[in-house]
Amino acid sequence: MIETKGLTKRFGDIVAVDHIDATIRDGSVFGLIGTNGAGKSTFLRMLCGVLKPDEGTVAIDGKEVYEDVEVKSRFFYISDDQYFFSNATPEEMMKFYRKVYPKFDINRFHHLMKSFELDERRKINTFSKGMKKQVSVICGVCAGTDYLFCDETFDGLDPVMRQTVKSIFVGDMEERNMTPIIASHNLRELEDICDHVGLLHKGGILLSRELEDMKLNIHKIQCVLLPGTEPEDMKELDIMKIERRGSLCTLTVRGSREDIETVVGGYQPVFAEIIPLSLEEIFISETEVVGYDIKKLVL
Amino acid sequence: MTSRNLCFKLMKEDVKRRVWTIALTVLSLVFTLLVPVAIKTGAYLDELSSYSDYEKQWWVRELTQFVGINGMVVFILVALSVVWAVSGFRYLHNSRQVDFYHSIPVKRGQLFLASYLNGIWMTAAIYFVIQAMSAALIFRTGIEGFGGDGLWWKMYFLNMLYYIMLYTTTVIAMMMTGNIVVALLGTTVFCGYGPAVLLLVKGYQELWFHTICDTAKNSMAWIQAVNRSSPFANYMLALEDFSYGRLDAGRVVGAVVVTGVLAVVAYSLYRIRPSESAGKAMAFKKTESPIKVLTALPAAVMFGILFYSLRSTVTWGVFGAVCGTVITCCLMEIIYHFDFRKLFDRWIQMAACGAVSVLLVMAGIYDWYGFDSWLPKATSVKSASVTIGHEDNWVTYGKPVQEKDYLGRVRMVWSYEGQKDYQYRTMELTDIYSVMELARKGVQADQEIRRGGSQTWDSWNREYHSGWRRCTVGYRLSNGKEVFRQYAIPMDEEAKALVAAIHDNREYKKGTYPVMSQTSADTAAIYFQQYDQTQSLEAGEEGKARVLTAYQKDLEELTMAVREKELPIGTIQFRTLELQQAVDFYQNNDQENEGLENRCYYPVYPSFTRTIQAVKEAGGKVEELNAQMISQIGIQYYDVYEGEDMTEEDAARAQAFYEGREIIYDQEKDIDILSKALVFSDYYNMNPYYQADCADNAEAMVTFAQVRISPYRVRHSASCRIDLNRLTEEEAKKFGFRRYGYEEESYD
Repeated sequence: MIETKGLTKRFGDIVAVDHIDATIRDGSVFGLIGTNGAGKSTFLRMLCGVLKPDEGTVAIDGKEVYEDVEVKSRFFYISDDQYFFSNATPEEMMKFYRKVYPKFDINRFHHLMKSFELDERRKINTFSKGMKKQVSVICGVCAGTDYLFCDETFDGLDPVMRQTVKSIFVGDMEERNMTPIIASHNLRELEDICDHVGLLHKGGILLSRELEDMKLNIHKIQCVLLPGTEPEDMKELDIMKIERRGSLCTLTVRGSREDIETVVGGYQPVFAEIIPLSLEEIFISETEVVGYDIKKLVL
Repeated sequence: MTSRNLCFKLMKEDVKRRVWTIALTVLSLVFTLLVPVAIKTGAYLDELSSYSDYEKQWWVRELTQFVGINGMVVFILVALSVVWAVSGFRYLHNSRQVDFYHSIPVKRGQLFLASYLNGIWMTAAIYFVIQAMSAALIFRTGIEGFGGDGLWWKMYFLNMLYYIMLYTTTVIAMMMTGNIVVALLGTTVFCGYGPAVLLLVKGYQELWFHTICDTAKNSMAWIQAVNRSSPFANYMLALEDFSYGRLDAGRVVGAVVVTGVLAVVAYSLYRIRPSESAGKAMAFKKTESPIKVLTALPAAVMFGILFYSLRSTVTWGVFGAVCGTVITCCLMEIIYHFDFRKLFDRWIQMAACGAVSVLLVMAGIYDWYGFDSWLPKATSVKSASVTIGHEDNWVTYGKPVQEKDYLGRVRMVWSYEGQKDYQYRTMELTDIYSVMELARKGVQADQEIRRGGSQTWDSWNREYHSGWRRCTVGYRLSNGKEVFRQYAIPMDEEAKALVAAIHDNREYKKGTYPVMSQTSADTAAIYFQQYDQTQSLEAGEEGKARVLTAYQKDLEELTMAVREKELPIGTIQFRTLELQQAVDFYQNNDQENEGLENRCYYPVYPSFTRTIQAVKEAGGKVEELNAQMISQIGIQYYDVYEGEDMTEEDAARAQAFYEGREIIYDQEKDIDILSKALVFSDYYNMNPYYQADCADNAEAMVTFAQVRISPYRVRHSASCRIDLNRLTEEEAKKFGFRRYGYEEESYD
């Protein structure tokens, strides 16, 4: 289990990560989502011991990560722009990783390289962006670590390859309880793989919850109310957002489905329907509450 | 996996990625060392049979220098130290690479060691192989005298030691920065900052501390400071010392310790270096301000000195300081931020630096330190030494010493001792009143110069003006301190009297002339010289003692009044045993002795009756310059009279002047007139107090009747000045001698 307590990192006057408390359970996929500049990469770089926190701690199973070789051998970090040695081939990278990751699975590496149709002896600098990502993912899963830190790893992969990588992750989770921690601002990619989501904004964590819980606790209601009744009159509801199109109102409301249904039913609407929210909509709603304008989002 | 295994594996991986650096190292050393040695040894072997022994010796030296102090190899090693350090740690300046290296399960210490050690052992191995191959090639020639004392491997270790020191210095620069260009600047600063600041301090003192005095002790301390202030300077001085066989084990051990400390510093910096500093100018934010201030202040003072030197006014000095501060601070901020618009960032620091530098410049200009106005209390001075500028600069201080260079060549060199240093070491003037009064006049004169507002030029020009004299005083204070000051003193009657009082003092003579401390036991031989005719006085031990004692007595009693009226009529050398050994060394080796035998001659004045008598008793011949000794006198004119009423002689002189030739006078009547006015230049230079009125437009070249001055040389001619005081107006006019007529500038 990865646990951060009061994790803080400053770059000069900028607070990149601001007192984040988070817990990442083993065997689940942790999605780290956030606005641009929210501190996702900084958070990941502290998780993998590249950056030293200014305040707070990062621990894996109670052991501090920074400068602890034993702890660091339990994860593999794939940065958003992974470095490969100058003029190196995938085979040479594998040989290097094999020396520093004792559980590196060479056979699996050869197998995956073949499956992905990547030439092990071709220079990586001649690969496309997507192919480089594939090489880094293959090295990552073959390292045999308990945790795989992925920073925007799916960015650049084609849809088929994304699904393939996801299925490899799922397989490793089932087989050896691997825990991928995936940072991305592309929420659609995370929605179908993440079990738990941490939402970062301006260096702080807005929420950290099971994806299902998150979806169960926030709902969108489309309704037509009786004449003379306004959505604002339903004071029992925790309304986050109201949109009107003629008499049709669309409300984003916090709370359980049952409670919302009871309250709305009490006002005897002409029409009312609860529809599910996507992760993207949840993200927009939550960040709007703290003043993040939708127009600035990069999806 | 054990840490050691992992470290070796990392080193192996690192080597794979630095093949180009290895190739560069091999190529550069092969072409600067191995190939030239191969070419030279080949040339030597081809012509071996035709070489004389002397030529073979020359070849031994020539070939040995390749594996000895080889300038090209030194240059290449210095460059390689930078290349290896940069190539080993450049990943720290790239955030992608930092993420990669620092996320893998390897301790930072091991990452550091892998790169750091590769940068050392790879060069060490390549250089060793090439140095050994070069030595083997030289051995193959079979030349005698090479490698007997393991020169090639001693040089290898010395070069490698300083390679590691410079390499580690560059590594530290790489640690402290996040950009390669800034790291290279940092390396330059580490290697050049110390000597540059020391030079600046010296320049500052020389410009504004008018009474500061350079002594051998100060100079040595300054060189030591330079030596310790920079790894590069330390390397160069170590090479110099090694070449003269002066590099002791202590120095080498010191360099090893310093290198070790630098390595620990580099390691510690690596461990605490924030990964996020990749790409920034400075890795540690906290170092920015100190480095900026430490750079800006000396630069500002240097600008202040530069502008002050141009115009010698406070305004320009202050302008320079302000300019220097602004330019340096702005440059530093631009470098720190990689952004030109940030040039006035931290302007408060800039203002503070400007204020301090202006204060430093003004403190120098106005002597706020009180350095030049300092005078000890007379009661606190135990004794003093005084050096009167230009008075006795013919005295040779020091002694010959045998020196062996790193190629095994033995030679005798003159180990000089400064006049001031000798005088301070041997002179103990207890007549403090005269010394203090003289010093007081110097301080007053300096204060007047400062008040006058045009300090620089006046201060230095007056030293060389006939109305001024520069005197150095060494104070021995009762609290044990030793203080030196030199003063430019206007030579008015009072000052002349003070100088005369000091000059006539026996303690002054004892502390000025080494011959005063000489004994006959130290004396190998005595030579008496007149007009370059040298006579060896074969007087036996007793006679030697008699001549020496007589001379010491005469010299001790020599007064300023006598020196104003008399010129020496000859010189005498009491050749010490050491000097004799040096002369013998060169004679035995059939080499030029670089004028050793002509050193340490002392003047004999006409009033030195005891000496003249003793020389005569010892078989010497003493005679004053007279017409019979001269066969002809050539007059070289530098200017001639060409008025309308010019005589035939004037016309002849003009003709000779334009043709650039001398006019020869070989008639007895001309020689009779001219010979009484001749002032032998060598003797004239030995007595600056002599009141002559020498012609400005002519010099004489006297050709003597055949006189043998040594077994090898025959004296033909000697250069003389012409003293108009000894000629009548008509005589002077007849020969066209004249003074230009400018008045001596008054000091008041």
